[in-house]
Amino acid sequence: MPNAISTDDMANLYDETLAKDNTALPNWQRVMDTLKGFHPPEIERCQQNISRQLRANGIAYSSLSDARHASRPWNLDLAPFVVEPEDWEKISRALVQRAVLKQEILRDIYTEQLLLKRRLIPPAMIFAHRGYLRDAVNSGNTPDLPMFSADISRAPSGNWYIVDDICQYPEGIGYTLENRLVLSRTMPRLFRVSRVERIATYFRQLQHTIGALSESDGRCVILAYGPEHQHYFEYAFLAKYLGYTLVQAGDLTVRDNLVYLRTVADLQRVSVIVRLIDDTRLDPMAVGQAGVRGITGLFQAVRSGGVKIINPLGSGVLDNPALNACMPELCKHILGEDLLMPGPPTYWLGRADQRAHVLSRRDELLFRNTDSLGQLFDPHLMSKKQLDDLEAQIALHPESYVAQERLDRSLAPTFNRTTLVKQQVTVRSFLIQNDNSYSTMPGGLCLLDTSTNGRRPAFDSLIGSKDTWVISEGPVKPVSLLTNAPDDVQFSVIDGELPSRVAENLFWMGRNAERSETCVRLLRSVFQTLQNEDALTSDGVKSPDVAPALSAILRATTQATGTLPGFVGRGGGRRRQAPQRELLSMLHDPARVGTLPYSLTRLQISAAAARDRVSDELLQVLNRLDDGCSDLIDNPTTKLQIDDIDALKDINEKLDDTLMSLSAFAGLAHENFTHGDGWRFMMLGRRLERVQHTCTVINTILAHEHDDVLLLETLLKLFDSVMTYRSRYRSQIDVRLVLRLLLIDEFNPRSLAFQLKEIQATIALLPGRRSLSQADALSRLAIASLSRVQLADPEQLISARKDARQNLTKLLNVLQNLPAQMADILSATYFSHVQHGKQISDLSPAVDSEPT
Amino acid sequence: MKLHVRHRTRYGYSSHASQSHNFITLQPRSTRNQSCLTTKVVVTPEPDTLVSELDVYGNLSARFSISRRHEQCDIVVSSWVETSDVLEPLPDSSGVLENLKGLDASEDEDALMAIDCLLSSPFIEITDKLDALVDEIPIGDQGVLQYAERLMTHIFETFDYTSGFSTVVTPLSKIYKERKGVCQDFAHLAIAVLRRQHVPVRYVSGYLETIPPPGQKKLQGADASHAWFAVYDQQHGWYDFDPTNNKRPDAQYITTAWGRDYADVTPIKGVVYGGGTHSLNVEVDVTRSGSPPVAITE
Repeated sequence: MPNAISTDDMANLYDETLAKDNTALPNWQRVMDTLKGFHPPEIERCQQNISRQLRANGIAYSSLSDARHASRPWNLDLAPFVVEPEDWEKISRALVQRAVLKQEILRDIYTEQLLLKRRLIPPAMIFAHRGYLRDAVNSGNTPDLPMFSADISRAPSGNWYIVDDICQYPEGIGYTLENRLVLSRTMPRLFRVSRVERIATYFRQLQHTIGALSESDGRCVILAYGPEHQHYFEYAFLAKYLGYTLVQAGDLTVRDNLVYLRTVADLQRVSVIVRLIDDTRLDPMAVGQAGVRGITGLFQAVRSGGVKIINPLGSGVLDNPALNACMPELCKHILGEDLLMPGPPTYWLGRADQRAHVLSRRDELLFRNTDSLGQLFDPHLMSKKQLDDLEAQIALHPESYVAQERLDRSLAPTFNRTTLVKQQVTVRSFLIQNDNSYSTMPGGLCLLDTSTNGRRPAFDSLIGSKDTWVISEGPVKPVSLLTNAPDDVQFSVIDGELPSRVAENLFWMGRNAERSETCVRLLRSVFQTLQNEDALTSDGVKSPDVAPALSAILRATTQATGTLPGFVGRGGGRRRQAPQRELLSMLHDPARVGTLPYSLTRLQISAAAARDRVSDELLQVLNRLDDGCSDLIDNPTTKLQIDDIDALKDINEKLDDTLMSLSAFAGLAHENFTHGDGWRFMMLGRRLERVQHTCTVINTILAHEHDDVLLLETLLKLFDSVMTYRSRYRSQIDVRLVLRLLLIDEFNPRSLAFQLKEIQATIALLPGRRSLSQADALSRLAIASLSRVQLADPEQLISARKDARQNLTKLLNVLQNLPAQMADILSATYFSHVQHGKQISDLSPAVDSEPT
Repeated sequence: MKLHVRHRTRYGYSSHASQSHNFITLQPRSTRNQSCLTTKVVVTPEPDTLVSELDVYGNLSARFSISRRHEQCDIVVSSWVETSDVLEPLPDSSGVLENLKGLDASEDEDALMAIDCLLSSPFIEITDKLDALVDEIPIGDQGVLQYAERLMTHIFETFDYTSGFSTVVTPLSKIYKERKGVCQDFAHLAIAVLRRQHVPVRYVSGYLETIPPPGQKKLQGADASHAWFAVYDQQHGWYDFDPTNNKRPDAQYITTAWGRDYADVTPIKGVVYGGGTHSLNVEVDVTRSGSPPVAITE
């Protein structure tokens, strides 16, 4: 852990655990006494507990190199950040004042601009900031600022100050919630006796405020970036907790100035959008947009009152740090009060007199581009060239720069492994508008860093976070989102609101889970054969008994996973003789389509996109699968001697573990998932995939006339049907009975008939079909396939005669195409969604009249 | 002088478009030198709600969407405008610093826009890359309006009008290097030079009535949209300059809209879903007429 603060530096910083007279603060002391009483093993156990919980919420994508950054950016410290009640009262009052003030400024900027005209705010300060949205001026609506957030720190003087205002959309609410849930579970006793204020009050107010804005026929959605974004899991976590649908821009469409969510059922009206996306990415029609993505026509819908956006368009203008230079006067002018918590002393370089003053003291100050997200330039750390460049930029665009005095942040105790050290803290606080003012979340996201001299690392490069414990004067009342819901606000119900994109991902989650499972079963069967029989030497196959069975499974493995040529195509015969290399590739190569790590990775990707719908238990299984997958990729068996029993055993264990996790996944997906439309799409994916694999495997294995017992047993094992066979037939293994069990037996959950029956039943329940008077293409396909199987006669399919085996192949070939056909129809009916618009702005109107 | 402007834009799509959103800034505003008597937008096929609104700079923009399948979209804007026959002589104006000082003390909307027009804008970044052009014709202690007139002439005399060479995304450094472009480029270039020297300047889009050579009949649809720039003097307000024609805009000029640059007043822009490839056809007619356009009297 970095620990760059020298003792000299530390001596000047404020110590959070001490009062002004250097005596220990009572609540801090109680918490610290407990923490100091922990033995190192206890601390480690707690820390592991924390990591495990965080991991479960924010799955780390270790096996996806391109999505590796999608993991939670930093860890949670075991030691909470404690705030004494009287301190918090003052902080909260100052934050509320600031929120009120910011809202008034926002209203003025987007309506009359009187503050600008009277030069209480220099107009160029606003006009030069990227957050100033000209499209939002004079829109006919007076904007509100429902959510306000600010980073605050304590200066060496002991006074709190504002580090940053965050008004466009607050990041970190989800992390704060997660920190609280995890830490209170890790140290439940300490948490309880410490009388910590509940942050749930904030979330209740949040729901209340959002609910009050939404219309009865409209829904509320959380609009965020997709799984490729590093805070995606935070968004999903928050959406799940609040019960709002998490959407991406492509899920929404504007029709006649109203906003709709594309769901599998129909277009559903959206009346409130909580956006966690920058203004410049919302509507490609607006001036200064970053691209063609976004929700075309959204701004106009907002202007016409067809939808409300939280926070409103253009609220990012308030994040401008240059405003700190005017805040004291603005507070007096607007509220008639003194500003309770200022920012660091700030000089706006758009003013010529300030510029001269600042440049004369250049090295004492920190510089900042007003558009940047908190990045500070420190002249001490810059080369001559960098400084020249900075000064040149300031000369060209002085309005876009501020200088500020260096203010160092206070210290709080933090664990460095098992010892307590001190690190600097910043607290991100969150406010939400209530009926007449603002409520402050009693707590916040405490951010850890080690930068001195007033410098500050970016939000994403911090070294850790803490839960913030605001201590209550009296006993704490429990709050829960579910029980104490205020009854004057209608909460939306998620059911029936399945975005097409999510449905498609759930469908693929089902397919990919089944693909992975098939792959594992086949590989396991291969390796067990290799391990169990000492029938093989490093030269290849020796035993004539095993050879046909092994060869058939190898071929089936290639066919079912689609990893051609493999054991089938060109050179297949040679590879069946010496299968090691190909098998290792199937086990370890994530880049090759159809291999085990490939399918597992696809499973993670589709699960990630449906993340807000997945239960916590399912997430844990996904994490376990991901760990296993990483292990396969990162620790490959590089060289496999075919008689190396230890290596084979090791591989078999890994495959067993993976299969167990996949089975747990299948079980939980069945038991732990609301059986609504989303579940149906997932199950359809799984069943269709299983139909395909079943057909392929049976076809490959039984295509040749090697009906030996070993082969049939392997087949039964692959379909998990050995027990069923024994209990049902109590006989010698017979190919016809095996076929009956695997194809026609409607009570064997692994049989084709079972899958097809389930598919037919599921399809009938898909949205918009309950009212269909007659079967459409989708149902017809399902019915026809099921009938084919039901009418099949094993005697006809397989007998001594050669053409009978062709009947089997014919039947399986037809059924094998079913998944692809159905997926096409499902896609056209339910998933056709994200269309990308094209800009058609006339880029060449510059054909003017010839000069006269 | 009373003039009709008819601006027709036709989009054709190679296949069905399922939805399109459009935003047009084509309706003339009333200014110190012109009054817009009537203006009307007709869209075929009939769109969802068509909303006309004033933007932050007081321009009239219309937005509409078409939510059903369509293969083409026809937008006709017909306006009737009376322009002032008298071209005010250019008044004496303030030097750069005095102008800025006056600007800072003024509370009116014009001054606010002038401050906005001192800064970088979407298409015009204030940089030192055009300093060589600034050096060709530095402002020194001239009055801002007098300087603007000289800059207009300088661009007219040292740049070639060449259509087809540039689009709106062609960088100004390239226009400068090649010394050729069209009206937009010259307006943008002048704006960059003026802002670099702290003179408030805005982009103006509009039309220019053309007169056919003697003996020839004017061709229908032969006119086109035009663009020039305007400079703000703290005492006298905004004054227009057309570097393409080396002329201060007079009764033959119709102002549609103004902004920091082309991005603020793009005549027509849209996003279409589906539709395949699209074709675009624009016709503009500016004609003198004492009576309202037919499309409007209907």
